[in-house]
This record gives sequence, C-alpha cells and structure tokens, in this order.
Amino acid sequence: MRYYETTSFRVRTLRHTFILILFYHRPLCNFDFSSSSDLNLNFPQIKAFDLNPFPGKNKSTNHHRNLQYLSGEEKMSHNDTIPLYQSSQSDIDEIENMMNDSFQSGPGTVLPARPPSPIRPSIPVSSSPFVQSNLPPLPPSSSSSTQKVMPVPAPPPLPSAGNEGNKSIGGSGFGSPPNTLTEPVWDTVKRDLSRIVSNLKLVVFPNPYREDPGKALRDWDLWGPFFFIVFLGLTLSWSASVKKSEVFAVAFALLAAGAVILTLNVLLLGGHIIFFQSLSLLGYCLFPLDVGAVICMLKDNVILKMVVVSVTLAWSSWAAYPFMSAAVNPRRKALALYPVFLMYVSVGFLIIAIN
Amino acid sequence: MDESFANLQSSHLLGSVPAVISDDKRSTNVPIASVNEGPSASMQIFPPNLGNNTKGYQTLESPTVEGPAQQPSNNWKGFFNVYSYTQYFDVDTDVVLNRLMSSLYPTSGDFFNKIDANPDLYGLVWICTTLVFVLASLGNCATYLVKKRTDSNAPWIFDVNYMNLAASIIYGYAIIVPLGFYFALRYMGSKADLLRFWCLWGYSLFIFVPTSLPLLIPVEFLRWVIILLAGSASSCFVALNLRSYLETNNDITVVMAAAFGLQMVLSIFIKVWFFP
Repeated sequence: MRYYETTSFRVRTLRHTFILILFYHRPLCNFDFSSSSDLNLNFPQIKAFDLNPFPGKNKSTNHHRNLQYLSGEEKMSHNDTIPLYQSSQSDIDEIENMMNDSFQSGPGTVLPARPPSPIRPSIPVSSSPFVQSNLPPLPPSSSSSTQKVMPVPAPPPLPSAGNEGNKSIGGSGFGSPPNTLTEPVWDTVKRDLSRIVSNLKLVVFPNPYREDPGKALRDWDLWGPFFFIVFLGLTLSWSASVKKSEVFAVAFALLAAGAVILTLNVLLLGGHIIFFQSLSLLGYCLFPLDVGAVICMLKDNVILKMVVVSVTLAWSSWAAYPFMSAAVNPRRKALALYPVFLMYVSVGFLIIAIN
Repeated sequence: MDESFANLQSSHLLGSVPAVISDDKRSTNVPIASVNEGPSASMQIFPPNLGNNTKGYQTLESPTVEGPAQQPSNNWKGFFNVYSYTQYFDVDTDVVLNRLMSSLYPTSGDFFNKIDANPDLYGLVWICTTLVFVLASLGNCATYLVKKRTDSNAPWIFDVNYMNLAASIIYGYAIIVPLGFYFALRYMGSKADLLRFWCLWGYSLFIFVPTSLPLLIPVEFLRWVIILLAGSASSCFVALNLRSYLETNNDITVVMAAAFGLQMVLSIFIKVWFFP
C-alpha cells in the first residue's frame, strides 16, 4: 500500500506541474476542475467500503483521510518542498499504522464504538476546503491531525485499572501479620497448650464427634504425641532399677516406630488415612497408659499394677477403636485393629514388669 | 448528479482535459484494489493461526491421555511409595483366619492350594511381630517363675534385652531362610516364588504363639515335650507343603530335609534361650 501511495503521489505532482504550465493564465478554473474530479472519485470509494465489515470500514476511512491530506499537499506545495512532505508522509503513515494496531489489539467491545466517530467529522472536512477559498484548507488539516492524536490516550486507562487491583490485593495482605508477630511468646505457648488439651479431650474422652475422624482431630499436631511418648519412656526408665537407658530406648523405639508401622499397616490394607493425623491420634491414645505408668511407679504392688494397667489398656484401646475402624474396609477391620491392640498390650506389659 | 453534469460540460469545452480525467481514474483504481486485497489477506491469516493453536493444544492433550493409561497397567508406583505394596496386603479378616487355622494342621499339605493366586505378607509381618513380643514377655515370666520357685526372696529383674534378641532371631529367620530356599531352588532349576515362600514360612511360625503359654509351666521335662511337639508340627507343615509345591524330582528329599531341620533348630533355640 505504501508503494502504491508513493507512486500515486509522484504521478499527481507531475500532473499538477503540467497543468500549471499549460493553463497558468487561469489558476482559479484549474483548481475548480481538479477539486470536482476528486469529489467524484471519493464518493464511490465510500459506498464500496460500506459493504465491508468493521475492519474494512476502518481501513477505508484511513485511506480517505490519506487521500484528503495528499490533495492538500498538492495544492500548497512546489517541486522544491517535496522531500519535507515525503518525511511528513512517512510520519503520517506510522501514526496510521499505530492507530490500526491499537484498533486490532483492543478488545472486541472497543471496536464498534470507534468506527461511527471518525465517519461524521470526515464528511465536513471533505466538503469545507473545496467550497471555500485556499486559506480555509489549513484549519481542516490541523483538525484532522488532532483527531488522529485523540485515540492515543485510550489504551493507558486499562493498565491503571490493573494497578489499582494489585494495590487492593496488597492492602488486604497487610492486615493479619502484625497480630501474630507482635503477640507475646507466652500467648503463643498458651494457645498451643490449649490446642493440645482440646485435642486430648476429643480423643480420650467421650464426645459427639468421636466417630468422625475429620471433626474429632481436625486441628491435629505432633507436640502432644511427642510429649506423651517421651513422658512414658522417662517414667519407665525411672521405674527401672537397672539398665535405665536400655529401658528408655526400647520403650521409645516401641512407641515411635510402632505408631509409624501401624499407620503404614492401614495404608497397605487399602485404608484412607492421613499419615500424620494417624500418628497424632495414636500418640494421644497413650495418655491413659501414661497415667497408669505414673500410678505403677508410685505403688509397688503387683496385683494393683495389673488392675491399673488393665483399666488403662482398655481405655486406650477404646479411644483408638473408632478412628482405626473408620479408616479401613469393614471386612478388614480386625486386621487393622489387632496391631494397635498388640502395641498397647506390649506397653502395658512393660509397665507391669519393669520395677 | 449536478456536479457530474458540470464536470461533463467543462470536459467538452476543454479538449485537453479528458486525458487528465482518465489518468486520475486509473491512478485511483490501483489503491482500491490494494485496499480490497488487504482485508482478504488479513482474513486469510486468522484461520491458519487458529488451526495452529488448536493443533498445538491437541498435541499437548495426547501425552496426558497416554499417561494415566499406562499407570493402571503397571501397579508399581515407585520403591518408596507405600501404595506399591498394597497388592501384597490384599486380604480380608476371614481369609487370614482361614490360613492361620490351616497352619495348625501339618499333615494336610494343601496350604499353597489355599493361597492359590493371592499370597500375602500380612501374615508374615504380624505373626513375627506377635511372636517377638510373646517370646520376650513370656520368656521373662518364665525366668521369674523359676527364680520364685528356687529362691522366693531373691529380687527378680526384668531383662529388657529379651526384646532385642527375639526381634533379631525371629525377623532374621523369617526373612533369610525363605530367601535362601528361593535362590537354591532357582539354582537347581525348580520353580520357585519368593512371595509364596515368605507366606509359607510366615504362617508356619504361628504355631509357636499358642505354644508359648504352656511353656510357662516350670517343669523342665514338660517344656521339652511341648517344644518338640510344636517344632515337629511346624517342620512337617513346611516340608509337606514344599513337597506338594515342587514337582517330582530327585533333589526334593534334600530340600525337605533341609526345611525340616532348620525349623527344628529354630524351635530348640527358642526353648533353650527363652525358656531355659
């Protein structure tokens, strides 16, 4: 298109000089003839392009503006000033290309709003310079240039809206951190301890959420189990008269590895269980056995020990039963529960035997 | 229309003007053609781009479709993935109980027929674990009873090392002996399945669990009678099932004798070390 435009520009300049040389004595009549011919040519172009879709309309309007501008240049220019107009023409082409790119890149909703606006001002611009004298053509060219510059500010508002959205998201993020960062350490410890106590009540004591693992131990942690395992190991090692370190090692290994193996057993049987939630629950179920261990450490009667351990053993098994039975297929319930019972029995035996 | 008439009249009056008008028309026709070509070219560009995009999207979809298709065919999800081993624990409670009961009857020799296509490792794992705990605890009780009988005033001390010793012996035997038989039979050219061997030896140890309770009786002669009976039953269970599993071959006697002997050695070791 640019190539064709440049060739047409050169042909018109030659024709213009030829007309001036032949009919120099009647300049007014010559101008009228050229203007009338331009008008005749412009109208069929507009009609032909109206049949095209919106992009076609945009292109036709751009072409129309380009023709008008070229005609203005022909009227005012001479042979010596051709290089300057060529540079200005290239600038105009770049502006038009930018406008076309902005139209194409913009969303679909923006395109329908733009075509009607340039069509209206184009008609008076085309009619006014030909009816009036040579002086009025200057203002129409300036007005057309301003119209071309107008669409440029349209794209900037979109990124600003995006920036505002980002700012609002950032603002909401600043709300919560100061609350936890600025609180005293004692408040943090107290909150963790209260959570451990509430989890212990949910696991070991009767409550309506006992059958539902999701509700009973929603906010699980590993501090409680760790404390109960270490406490039981220390209690047994204090009770032992000889080989204290070996007793602690066996007790700790039995409890820690036992919980892991029991959880893996449920997973291998095809059960659906959360690994660390299971570790947490098995650890909390040791609380009754911890109490039994303390009582047995204080009393040295074998019969009393057997009674206490039997009660606490039954209590721990009762606490672990609903969680484990809900995790596996009913046909495999016994396969999942037996290892849990075996672990608690072995712990109970250690409590009775070590003295 | 009026303007067109005016143009015609002026053209007739001036003879040299028609050439100028014809030139103008020719020059203007070319831009019109170029303008018409522009939208058509741009229209042609869009469909190929969409086609390329859809093709790219389809190529991305095809490997994702192939991925899950391959996974179900192979149950192995990785060495460190716990779900890779669920196929070895695919048993129900009644199946395990049935196998435990059959392990108490050594003369039937149809254990492999019962486990047919579904050998499990649940029995191996938890029978060994139960046996470790029973030997450690009842072993200490046995020493307590013997000490009470000889010297009632002497202080008895719980020996926690029984747990370590029992775990080492039982787990080691249950894992290494079937592995050894597997490699030996493969070397001799017989058919051998490691999983079935582990299942067989695992369930063969179950008889020692109920036997440990009578072993608490602090009578030396009675303890020897009980352990030899249990050992013989367990050894016959292993040997007879191996014979029914293996095809008729000259080397079968050696294999049966080896299995019988090892099982008897284990039972005697249990008696001597845990129930002296």
